[in-house]
Amino acid sequence: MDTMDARLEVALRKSETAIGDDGFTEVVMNGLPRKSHGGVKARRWTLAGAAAAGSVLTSVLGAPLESVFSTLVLGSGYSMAILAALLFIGSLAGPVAWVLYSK
Amino acid sequence: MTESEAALVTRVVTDDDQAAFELLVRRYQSPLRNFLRRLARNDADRADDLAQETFVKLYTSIATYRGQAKFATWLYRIAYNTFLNDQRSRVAEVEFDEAHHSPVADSAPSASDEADVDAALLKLSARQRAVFDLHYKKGMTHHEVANVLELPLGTVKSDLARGLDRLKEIFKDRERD
Repeated sequence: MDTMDARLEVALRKSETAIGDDGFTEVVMNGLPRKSHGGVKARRWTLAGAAAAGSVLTSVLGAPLESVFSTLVLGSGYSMAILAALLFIGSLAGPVAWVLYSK
Repeated sequence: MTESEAALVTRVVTDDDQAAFELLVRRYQSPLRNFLRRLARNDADRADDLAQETFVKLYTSIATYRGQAKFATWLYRIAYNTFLNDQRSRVAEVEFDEAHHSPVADSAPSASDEADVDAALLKLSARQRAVFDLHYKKGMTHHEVANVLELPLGTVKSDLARGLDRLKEIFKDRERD
């Protein structure tokens, strides 16, 4: 490597002078678009509300539903477990789909 | 111990942690602004506007960062594309700059090789300036530079080789003067 190459290499690899922040970061942070937190909050409240409502409904309607189910089971060929599972899936499908696919 | 870029990105994505994003900006503002100043031919105001735009784009797209590439690679790619978009919108001005403006010839003789090289780099094309900055100043490998600029590896190597030849010519000319 001749002198010219060596001098160029050294000069090129010399670390650059740091630029002081001087409020640049603050300008960037103030210029960031505000993200909407409405969707996230709504989803959290929906989940919490659904869980609470489900608990209340289960405790209030559990016994009457069980008797209705028993009647249905007696009048049809389905077992109570299958009917309960179908009802459970049906009641969850809507909120779960909304939580998963809404932005 | 400094928190890794990936950890900071995760905090921004999962908790919308503004403090984590601010740390990223503070950590990268200087090298990024230096990179853009070199691309913008030392136009500090334009470079800072582009740097700000880069960080905003980074913030709005941060959820798409999957960690396969280095954070710096991703950031400089956004910055380079931001510069190119800006460059396209300034075609007339750029043509003037590239064809007629000669910062090296206009500048006063420099006291050091480093200053000479900085001035001589301005004579190279924008892409070559980006290649030189990323390789020599940011310490990236040829592969990493190719990845950032989305160029074939051979193009990066030839840009460096041709750029070095050009710099040598400029150096020799300056020493003859």
